[in-house]
Amino acid sequence: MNNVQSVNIQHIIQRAKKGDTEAVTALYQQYAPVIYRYVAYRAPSTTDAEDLTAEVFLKMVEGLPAYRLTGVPFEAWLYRIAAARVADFYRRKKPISELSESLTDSRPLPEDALQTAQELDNLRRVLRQFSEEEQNILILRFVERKSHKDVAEIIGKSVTAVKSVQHRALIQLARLFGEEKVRHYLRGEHE
Amino acid sequence: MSERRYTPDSLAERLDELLPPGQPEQVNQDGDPLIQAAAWLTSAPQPQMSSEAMARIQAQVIRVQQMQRSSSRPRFPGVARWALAASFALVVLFAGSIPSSLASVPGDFLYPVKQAVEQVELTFANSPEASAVTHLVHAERRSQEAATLLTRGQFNPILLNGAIEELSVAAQIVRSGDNFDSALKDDLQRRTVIVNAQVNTVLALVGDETQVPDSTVVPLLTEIHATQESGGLLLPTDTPTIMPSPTSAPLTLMPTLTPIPALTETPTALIPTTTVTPLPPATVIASPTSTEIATEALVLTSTPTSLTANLIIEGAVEAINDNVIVIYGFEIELSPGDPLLLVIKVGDVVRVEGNFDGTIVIAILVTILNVDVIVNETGEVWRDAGDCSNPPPPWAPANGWRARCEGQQPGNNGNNGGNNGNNANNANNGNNGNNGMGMGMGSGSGS
Repeated sequence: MNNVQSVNIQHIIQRAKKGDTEAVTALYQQYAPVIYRYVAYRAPSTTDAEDLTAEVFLKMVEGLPAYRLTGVPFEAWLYRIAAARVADFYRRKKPISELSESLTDSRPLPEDALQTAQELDNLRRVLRQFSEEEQNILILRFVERKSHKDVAEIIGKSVTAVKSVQHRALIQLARLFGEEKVRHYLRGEHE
Repeated sequence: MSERRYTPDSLAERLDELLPPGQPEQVNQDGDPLIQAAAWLTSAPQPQMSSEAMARIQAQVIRVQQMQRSSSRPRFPGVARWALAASFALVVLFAGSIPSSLASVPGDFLYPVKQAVEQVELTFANSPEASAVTHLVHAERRSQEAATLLTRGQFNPILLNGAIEELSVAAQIVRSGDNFDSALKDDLQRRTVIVNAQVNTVLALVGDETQVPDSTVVPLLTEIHATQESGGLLLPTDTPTIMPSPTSAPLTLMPTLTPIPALTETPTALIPTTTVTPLPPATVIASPTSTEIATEALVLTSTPTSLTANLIIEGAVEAINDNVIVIYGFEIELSPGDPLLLVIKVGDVVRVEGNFDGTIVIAILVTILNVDVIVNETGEVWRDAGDCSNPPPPWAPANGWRARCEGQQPGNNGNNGGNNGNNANNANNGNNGNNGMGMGMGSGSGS
């Protein structure tokens, strides 16, 4: 970790709110990888994930002047924008095809990237069987390794509600593990 | 079967042990299907945006940001809004006759004219009332000038000293008058509070808006603060003061009111004190000066620091507008879903820990001090009506009510804690994860 703790995020945000391009760039560079990762689990393809990430940060720029510092981390605000963008994306789009990442994306992929893409496809297909809220909680809790409290702040629910949805979703996921078709998705891990 | 073995709470606890948050390298399993399912998710691939996409989107974001900046009207910072408000007051006061020189600030061509006009004003103020008003108007002008200069990145300590001196003279005149009109006195007091707050705001923002070093600000701050604390101004005895810390000069609005230990039928009774207790440095959000910012890399931590209160204010609620309450003229925004909004009333004495962004205070922790208010984890709220008309629900300790009303109301459970209930609203220590994005605060509990 860089020795940057002394730089208070609030000052960066305040500067970004005032139109400081350098501060906006700093926010983008800090949070884009995190937001992209979150979006990539939920979007059907890399191209869509990139487009959605761009939308999130354009919304950030648009919303910064009105953004107010609160007890909720800035990152949570971005996650919320991202969640809304993903939900809107699926409302606008036709039902997702079952084509894999490598087929839906026209760009050629090297072998290791192809494997990652296939694993990502597997995860997406599994996640697609959950509600939007369950997907958010599963991703944030176990992929991003956020605490219950952090997840509660991001999704705007109580910690109790997060624990409850987490419990329900993991039961469903565990049941899916027992089904043959999911074993196929999870190859190499639990076969 | 694991679904039967684990409750949501026990599963959460177990997951925290085996897959601790924030520690992706730690993945432990115990053979349980639910834990296995969670552990499988932790091994998910970590997609990364290509550098080409990263740069392309960044360029897009910056282009839009610059377009937005160039097309938007200049926004007035918080201080400028204060200045505008004060200007409006001046315009009303001198309707139709205010010369343009009155809008000038030190360094302007017309400023000497303004100073001459003020001498004339004092000369023609031939009654104690008129004299007090004139000195207060001059105080308003000095603080407005200081605020205006601050928006230009300049700081003039003489103006702040001048504002405080003018307030002090006005107060002396008011206090020496035998038959001073009470309505006028109230008005002057209200305006003194505003000027005083504006002076404090300018002082608190100097470090952010100018290159003025702490070595210049702190002595001035100490001197002004001493005057404010001396009782020489027309301030209510419980008016808060802003006390930037000597090291980082952050905005630290200090309390204090001390509740009378015994709850009475007139719950607003409070003992004001003049104690100023700076927040411990560790809890104060560092406000690096412009100089420090300029030398720091614009890189953020990957896990942003949780927001900490940089301001504490205690006082009576003057107004409530939706989810915004007003104390000493400061607008304090609570979460729209905050249960306290269901019961808080004008006149309640509250303690707010929050963040002041120069315009509005965003509350993090709100506590009603003079009335027993209890919020439970599900957001239900109970307020002591001050008599026995509103019995508390079983979940509310409400020791004050029970001590007072035990035996007088049916359904009383006899739980006489003997507590006066002054601070029972702190009973809500659960989380309140329902905060909207625009806010992050609790009801006597924080977020």
